Amino acid sequence: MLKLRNLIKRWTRALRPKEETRASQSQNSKHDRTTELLRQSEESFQVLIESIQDYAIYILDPNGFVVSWNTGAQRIKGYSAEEIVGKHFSHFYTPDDNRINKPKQNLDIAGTKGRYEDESLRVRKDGSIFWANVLITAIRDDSGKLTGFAKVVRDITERRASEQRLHESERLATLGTTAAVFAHEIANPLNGLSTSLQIVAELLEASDYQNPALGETIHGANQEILRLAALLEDYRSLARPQGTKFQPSNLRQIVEEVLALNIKNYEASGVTVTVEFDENLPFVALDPEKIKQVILNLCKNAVEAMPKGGNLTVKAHGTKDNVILEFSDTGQGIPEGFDPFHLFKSTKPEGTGLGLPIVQQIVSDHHGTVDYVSELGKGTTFRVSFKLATHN
Amino acid sequence: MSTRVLLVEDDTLTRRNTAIYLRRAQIEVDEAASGEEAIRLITSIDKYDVLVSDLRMPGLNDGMDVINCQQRVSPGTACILITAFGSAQLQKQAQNLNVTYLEKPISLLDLLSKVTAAGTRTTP
Repeated sequence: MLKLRNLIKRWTRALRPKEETRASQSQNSKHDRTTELLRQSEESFQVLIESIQDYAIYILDPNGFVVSWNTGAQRIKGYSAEEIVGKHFSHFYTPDDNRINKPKQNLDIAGTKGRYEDESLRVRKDGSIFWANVLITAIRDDSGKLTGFAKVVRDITERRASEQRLHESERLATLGTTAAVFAHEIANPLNGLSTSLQIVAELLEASDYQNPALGETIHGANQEILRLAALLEDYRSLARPQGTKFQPSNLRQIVEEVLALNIKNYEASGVTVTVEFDENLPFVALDPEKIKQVILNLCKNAVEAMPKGGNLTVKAHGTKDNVILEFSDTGQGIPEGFDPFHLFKSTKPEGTGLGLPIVQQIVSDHHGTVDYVSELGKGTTFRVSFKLATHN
Repeated sequence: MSTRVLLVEDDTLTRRNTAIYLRRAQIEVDEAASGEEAIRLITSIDKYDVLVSDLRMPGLNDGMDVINCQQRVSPGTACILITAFGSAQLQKQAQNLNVTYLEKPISLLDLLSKVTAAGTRTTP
């Protein structure tokens, strides 16, 4: 911070001769007043830079070595001033970017054009990657000589993530709408096949012909038809609902309605279900029918993650701005590097990879978020967060 | 007197299978492949005991139009609506119209029991 102060002093000193020339044309008292005003402005500027938390603001020398460091920089990048001042700014770039000499290229552009702006990945002290909006501005003295670079960096990871979610949500909606059209064309022939098999089964039963393999074959074919029908239904769920009706809803009641219909199946799979809700949980603006699908999909996933049985806990609690709904299982956990929200990706042989994209789609339509924590062999918790806002 | 059913379904295989199944249970079945054809039959033929109609069909009139027509012509006729894609909203709408609601793929046995139950209610 001290270095930054000195640098700002140097800047303002660089400005001074111009002011002094102007002042010398005027009276001496005016000159004194200008100097005082400049000093005050210098101090205010220092305070301003120091107080900024959301932006990393720092200075590089002409070769890219860090000269100054503000609190925002420490917060965003993780280095203290003592650790980073004097080091080269290529430390903030990814290995890939360093390989192609991007730090130098960026400085060259800023040096030639006066500024360089970019949105790309940067590295924190702990090695974690974040999306950064970077602005590098060349600093030149009166003679036009390059004296360094001012760098302003903003962490835009959250914004990028929300853009990504929006994009994904739009993509799913388009897919769902297209699928809904096709699905109708497929559902009718499927019904034709299903009824045909039912008739064959009935005729077989009424006849003298005895062959257990035939009955099993028909049953197998019927099961496949039901599976396809369920798949079609999943696809159709991806389509953005028309005329979604948000209404103040009692989340506990919705969860209990879903569980009432399904708890017997879960228990048959050896899963014990526990519901823990905060007393006086506020009402949330939801479309209950859509949220039932979210609850159903998350419960189903949890149960399927525990083929040998286990515990499913559905919890809800309120915060100042949100209502959080959690589904915890004691199952096998999600392998690291596997994105369960990825469309068509499933760890289960029979999985369609549509369940969680549907959850994400519906939650996103509710302006909420869904994420998870998982530990292999211990279990997974999916957390859905709904905003407590009435303007939905 | 056997129960008389009007079966409205644009999918040929489904219509044929459903008709075969119901006829095996001594139910008299008239078939219509479109909403328009169904409305012609409803308005020209004596009262049906039960109307079984698909919801989405190509052409001017869908299953809801057929049901509305049937309920206007003879309010006593029991109606069964079949759809490939149901929704809670549609289910509610059917309930309000006192219409039985089934989702595809249907169970023919289930349909038969619903037709029989409806036929018993409406047949004098």
